[in-house]
Amino acid sequence: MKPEKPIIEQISKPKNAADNGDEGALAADSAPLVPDQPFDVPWHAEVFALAVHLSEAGHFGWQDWASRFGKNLAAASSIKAGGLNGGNDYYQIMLETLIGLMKEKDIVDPELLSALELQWREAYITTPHGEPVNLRA
Amino acid sequence: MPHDHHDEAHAHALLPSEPALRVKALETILTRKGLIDPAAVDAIIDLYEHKIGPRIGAGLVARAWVDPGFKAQLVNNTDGILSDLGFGGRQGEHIVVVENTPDCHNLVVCTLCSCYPWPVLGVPPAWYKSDAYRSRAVREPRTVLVEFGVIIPPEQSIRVWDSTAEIRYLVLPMQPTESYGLDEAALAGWVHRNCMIGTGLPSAPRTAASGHD
Repeated sequence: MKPEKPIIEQISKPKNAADNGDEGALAADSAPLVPDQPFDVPWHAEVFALAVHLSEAGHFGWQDWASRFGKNLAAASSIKAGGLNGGNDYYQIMLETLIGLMKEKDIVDPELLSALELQWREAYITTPHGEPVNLRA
Repeated sequence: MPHDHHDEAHAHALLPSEPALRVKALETILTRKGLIDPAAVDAIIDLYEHKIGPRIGAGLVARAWVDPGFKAQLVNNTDGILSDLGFGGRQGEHIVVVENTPDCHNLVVCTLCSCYPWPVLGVPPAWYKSDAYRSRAVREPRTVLVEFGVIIPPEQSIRVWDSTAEIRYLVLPMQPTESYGLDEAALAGWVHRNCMIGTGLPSAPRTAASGHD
């Protein structure tokens, strides 16, 4: 497939970087030659993998996913001062988008989800350090 | 450091963050309903943490630099060649290669969310997903590139490509003249992730130990 037209084409002279106003440097330290970790914390990887797995299993199409996720990102960025930083906030919105989809499909019951969150918390608090954490039957 | 204090502080398992507990709750429901295979979820994580990353894209770029026939295939039949090499898209997306030239520099963004050529670059860095990049790459690409340390001469135009769920873009950077004569394996070390997004230019590996991404 060949590309369509680019969204913009700039031929004008470069602007001075100092013209950025208060937006600040985007990436003075954001272009590492050595890559950052693909995921900062395990739950970022887990929610990403869940979304990919559920889509591949046919529970939703990726275009539908991108559309919903994009809308939620836009809504969140409009109310967060300074905008989203693409880190924890991004994955939290990914998680809520996934939960929202699962609720719509009557797969996830919000009350059960909340109850299980509390059960997992309790399991961590009551499991001695070093032992595997499991939900009580 | 008093060791018993350490033991006291971690008498129970470390409590994950709120969203981490929420993910666990969600996984529990999905597993109980038989909708997910935990082993398959783990395999996806392992794939993106350890097996797929910018080195795949760097290898393609380096090969394109030394093999004109491969380059023609990569640019003109991207999906076909990537599929042949085992780098096909998981979501049925198409990957389009956009080639930098002395007249045109290409820059990739996803204004909607973070669509990205996963099969050849892995998961995107945080800055690619940030509001700042997603909005400013379109509005003021030259300024954004300056902040990445990339100065595009006035006579070179900049094309900004907006990735979607269906089409993901990969930039084929120009080979630096200083690298002429190197073999494919050495050239791959000149190609780091940002080159293939358009926010960087190929450069010599810093050290044998660190290399590029």
